[in-house]
Amino acid sequence: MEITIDLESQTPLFSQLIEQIKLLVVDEQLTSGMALPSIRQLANDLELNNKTVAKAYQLLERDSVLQMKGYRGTFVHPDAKKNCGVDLNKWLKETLGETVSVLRAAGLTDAEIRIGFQDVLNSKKY
Amino acid sequence: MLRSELVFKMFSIAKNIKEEIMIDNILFLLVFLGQILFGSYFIPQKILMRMAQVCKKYPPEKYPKLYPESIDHYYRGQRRYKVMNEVVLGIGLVILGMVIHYDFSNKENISEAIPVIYFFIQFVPLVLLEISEFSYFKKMRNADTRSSKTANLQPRSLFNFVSPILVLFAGILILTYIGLDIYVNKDIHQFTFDWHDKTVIRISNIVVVNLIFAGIIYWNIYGKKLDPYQASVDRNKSIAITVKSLVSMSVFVSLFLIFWESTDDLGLDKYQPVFISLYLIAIIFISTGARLKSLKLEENNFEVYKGEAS
Repeated sequence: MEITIDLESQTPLFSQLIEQIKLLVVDEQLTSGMALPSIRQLANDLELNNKTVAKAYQLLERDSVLQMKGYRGTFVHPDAKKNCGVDLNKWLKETLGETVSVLRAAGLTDAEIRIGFQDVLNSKKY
Repeated sequence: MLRSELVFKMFSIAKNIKEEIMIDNILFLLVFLGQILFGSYFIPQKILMRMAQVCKKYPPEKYPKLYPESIDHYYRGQRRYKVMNEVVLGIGLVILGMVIHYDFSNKENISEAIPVIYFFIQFVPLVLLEISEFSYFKKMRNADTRSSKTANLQPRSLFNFVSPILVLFAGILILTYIGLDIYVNKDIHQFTFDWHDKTVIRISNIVVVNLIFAGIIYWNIYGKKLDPYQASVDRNKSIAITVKSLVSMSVFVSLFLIFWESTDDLGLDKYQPVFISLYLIAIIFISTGARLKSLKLEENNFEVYKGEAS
């Protein structure tokens, strides 16, 4: 069961890792509870930076495709196959799109929306 | 009659003493000769034969990725290794001659440092070969201009490559030796930690040696792939052989040191040089000989080295 990344591709390396792991889950080559290599092992084998692999694993954990259990290792989430279909980035764009439509309908300019968005991101309140 | 009997008895005693000295010395000569030939002739010959076999079966015309440098560079390296071992073999035979001449004519006990010092000399060509191998793999990685990288998603851990029982046994033996050394050589109630103390030095040595083994094992399992083309199956095989070899060496070192502690009490101290030399032969076998035996060329995937050179 191998994973291949293309160093010259336009797609970021961590995205390639995420896509390939999700594909293996969907194809049932990676099944619930299976262990994955450690960040260090995969980074060394693919000659990548540890942070690249760590980012891919963290995003897969956020999407409930993987479970990182500290020193015990990283495992495929019990609901990984179901969660592989969930695309958080697509949902983000749809939600933001609806919000921007509402704000424009209220008469706000794009510059005001942009400043307001930046302020919300920088605020500790949210 | 009485006088002649007395003379005869004294002559017999002297002859027995001389024979007794000769037996352990002769035994050492034989074993040390074995160490010289095994470590500086037999094993290097096997390594050189393996190198020649690779060049013959997998030539650069068909397997260019295996040769980041010209084949002549490879042949020069082989010749250097061969000459170095011939020199070390010569040194060994000279030392043997000096032992025969000096120790026998002076009826001295042979120093156990002789086989140890020679062992370090014997390992020099092998260490240099390992260093050149690192440089060789680095050149292969630099020559590898493939834009895609592949990795196996199977996690690797220590117990994938060696039995947990063997590792546990190695750990128990280390602790047994440490406990035995303190028990035999020190009054446990008066034991104080002092870096100049021989017991502390011996214990530190065995701990450091095992930590080095552990470091090498860790690096083999989790470190970067040296050969960029090596198939994962072959890499795992190589890791397994290395890990088992190092854990076996740890077991053997501890067993030997435990035995060594008892040689004085068993009256075997005059055979200590023999035991040291036998021990070193075993170390050479476990570290290098077993690896050569286990890693069969025909079981490796050399197809990965085919194609156009990068």
